[in-house]
Amino acid sequence: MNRPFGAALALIGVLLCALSARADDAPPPAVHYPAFRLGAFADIVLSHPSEGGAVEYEGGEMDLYASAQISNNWSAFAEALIQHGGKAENVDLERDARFDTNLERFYAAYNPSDRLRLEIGQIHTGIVQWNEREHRSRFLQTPIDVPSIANRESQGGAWPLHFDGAWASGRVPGALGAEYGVGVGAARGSERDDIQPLFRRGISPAGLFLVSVAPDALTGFEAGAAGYVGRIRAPGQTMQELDATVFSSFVRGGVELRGEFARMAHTPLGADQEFVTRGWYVLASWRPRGRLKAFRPYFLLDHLHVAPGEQYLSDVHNQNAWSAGVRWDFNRRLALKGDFRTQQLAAPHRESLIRAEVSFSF
Amino acid sequence: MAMRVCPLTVAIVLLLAASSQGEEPVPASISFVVSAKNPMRDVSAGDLRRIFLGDISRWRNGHRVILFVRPMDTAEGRLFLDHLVHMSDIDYSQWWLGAVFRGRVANAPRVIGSVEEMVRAVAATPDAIGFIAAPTTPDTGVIILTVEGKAPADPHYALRAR
Repeated sequence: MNRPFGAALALIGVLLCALSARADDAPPPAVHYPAFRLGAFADIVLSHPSEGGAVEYEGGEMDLYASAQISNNWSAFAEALIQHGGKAENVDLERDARFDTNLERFYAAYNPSDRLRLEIGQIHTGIVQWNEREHRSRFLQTPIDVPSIANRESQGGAWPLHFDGAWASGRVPGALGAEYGVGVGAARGSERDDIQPLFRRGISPAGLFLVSVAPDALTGFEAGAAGYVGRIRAPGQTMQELDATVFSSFVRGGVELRGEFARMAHTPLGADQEFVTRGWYVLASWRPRGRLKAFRPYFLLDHLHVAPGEQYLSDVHNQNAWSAGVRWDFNRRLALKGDFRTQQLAAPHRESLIRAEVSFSF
Repeated sequence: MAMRVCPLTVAIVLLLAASSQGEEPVPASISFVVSAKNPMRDVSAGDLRRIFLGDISRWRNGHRVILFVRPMDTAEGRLFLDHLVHMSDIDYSQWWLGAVFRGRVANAPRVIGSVEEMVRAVAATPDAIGFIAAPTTPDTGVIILTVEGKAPADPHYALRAR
């Protein structure tokens, strides 16, 4: 899935789009098109085993993104992720990877109203809400870690977080705060981290849906569910994939509570066998008021159980981890995080780490 | 008799004590203003919150909502954070950074430095909405919205400091 040239071309494409676009419908006053924006998030993680040893550079990421509001209704977006794998053994990073450049998202969007937004291109599937909300920015998320169910496919993640296709979403007016999303596109390929181009011959289709509510009567509360169905043409067998996720959050007045449960079922065609992988996380954090408002203590529980014997997920690890730490927003653009994490790489071995992350946006 | 004090208890007490400091008085309420050319006259508190979080980005005529906010360290800015969006200024700033990154909006709200400038900017921008401290009564060109049928002076107004 390493597509460095694609990523570069995507960014250049959005830039050219922004420079050459003509407004195709009359823009409202005081809004000037095209409006272009370029931004980035970056971070570095250091870790120190609690049983002793040297402080190690665990890894770093830079997430570049560009958006172009071409007209009142049309926009384009591109995002590329550059990762550098460090020296420490960590399930979040491929150990043989040094620099890895990936195209994350690249799409055109038509957005005539809040009730309908249509995106076409390479998009995030939305099957894991964490990924839909944070995408790949570790600056925006409270803890250092991405939960296991939201790990990128190339980082040992099990769920299909990317696909090429079309995604329609929107908001249903009313006090229920209901939102929907429906998508169709190409299912993932024979390798777990293979995002199939939409126009490749012989691709199999995938379908997605997402519903959520955020009622006025309970400000800050949100709950929802997502589903994904696709067919995987893996070597030697074809499997039906059926994923389901439920999520909920309460974010209000400095309190942040989030939870998500995901189930993935792979069924080889013509067989009775079913491989079921499950994962969940719970995140709790709190930002005090007053002089300590720059600090946000947090606690993250992270669990992943991979279906035993499933070859397609053979390089995905079980995970049973928790971490407790503090995020310090030094200013609007720089956050420092420190935590204690204990994680299971392979049962019964556990390791504990003290870690620090410097993350920033620009 | 020596009394043992749990360090965790001490830490929590200190945290709570520090949390309660640094607050300044806030105005009685804030008024939301739109251009006199905007047909909107009333809005629900839920929709107002969604507008200032970018979840509602269009007026009924299809034009994009243009958001103007006061600096979050002003009295009306704090009331806006505490009673409408229920976030700290840091979280509100990061919310908009995330909204742009999610590709849903092009820009974060524009910060307007003074009440007079806010009134002028909203009056000159038919698709804009902003807020000012009540009971400021702007002269012309802008309309103060009622929230769920109640004016800012109403004791049951939703965005009133309690």
